[in-house]
Amino acid sequence: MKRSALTGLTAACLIVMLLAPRTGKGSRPTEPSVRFAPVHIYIDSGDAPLAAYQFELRATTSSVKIVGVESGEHPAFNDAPYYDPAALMNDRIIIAAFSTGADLPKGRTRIATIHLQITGDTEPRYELKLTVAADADGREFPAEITFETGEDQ
Amino acid sequence: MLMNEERRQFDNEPDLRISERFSEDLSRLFAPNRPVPPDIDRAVAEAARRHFVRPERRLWWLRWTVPATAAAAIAIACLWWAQPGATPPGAQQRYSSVVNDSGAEPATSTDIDGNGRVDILDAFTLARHIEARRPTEAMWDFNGDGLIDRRDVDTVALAAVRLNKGV
Repeated sequence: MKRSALTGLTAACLIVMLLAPRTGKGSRPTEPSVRFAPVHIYIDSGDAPLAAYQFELRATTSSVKIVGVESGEHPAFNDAPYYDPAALMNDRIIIAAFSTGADLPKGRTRIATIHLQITGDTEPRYELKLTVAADADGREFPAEITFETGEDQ
Repeated sequence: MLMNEERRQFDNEPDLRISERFSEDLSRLFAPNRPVPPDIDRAVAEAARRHFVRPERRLWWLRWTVPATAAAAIAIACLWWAQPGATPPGAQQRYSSVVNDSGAEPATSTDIDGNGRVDILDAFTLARHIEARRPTEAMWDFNGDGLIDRRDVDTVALAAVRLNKGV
């Protein structure tokens, strides 16, 4: 029995040693690099206090997957924003949040950070669309939405 | 010393001694009649050898098939897991369950502000309504728990950010 087990193990090792180089070099010729990067989303509300927002981000290159979402910098948006969990491991996400508090951000503020997994060396491109921005009374106002990539916020 | 004394005592016991006559009779009864010829001895030995060797030959293939099959299975498993993008069993199922959880049908009439689309402003309107303790409508009980509270606000907000609804 011991001899049989030893023979089986030896045979398995031999098969792996013989076949592994072939699959390693043949079926995956070049292993694409994988890296993680944040995308910081900003809204400039001007003089209006920002109480609610909703936006959509889509990566136009197929090599990007969303892996996480971080809340905004202002205390009014410290709680995790709303998003569909199905967006994780996808290239498109809709994010929204609101605050009923009195202390609301004005001007340019980081409302969320999206963490991405990028495969390959090509710099991804994004489409960012502001769906709505509103003040404390729920009145919509025009605002500017922008994003920044990289570690610096 | 004690042992010798005991044995002597035992030998002197009249009932346990064997008579010479009886001993000769036993020897005659169980002694071989005549010596076994060497060729018969060899034939018996050969027959015995063949008898015990045959089952081992029959099991030869079984002894090799089991470890060979196990080896092939281990090798295939190693190669499959070594490939890029291979997911361990159960991973796909876990991901699917996340998709299913979020893919639940949304509550109807979540367009609270009546502007023709469901967005975060509907949830915001409901939240402000609840915080101000204004009268609420029964149709805003989106999760059907008999209360209109923050959980209903969450239901509306999650309906607003669903990927497959199109904002």
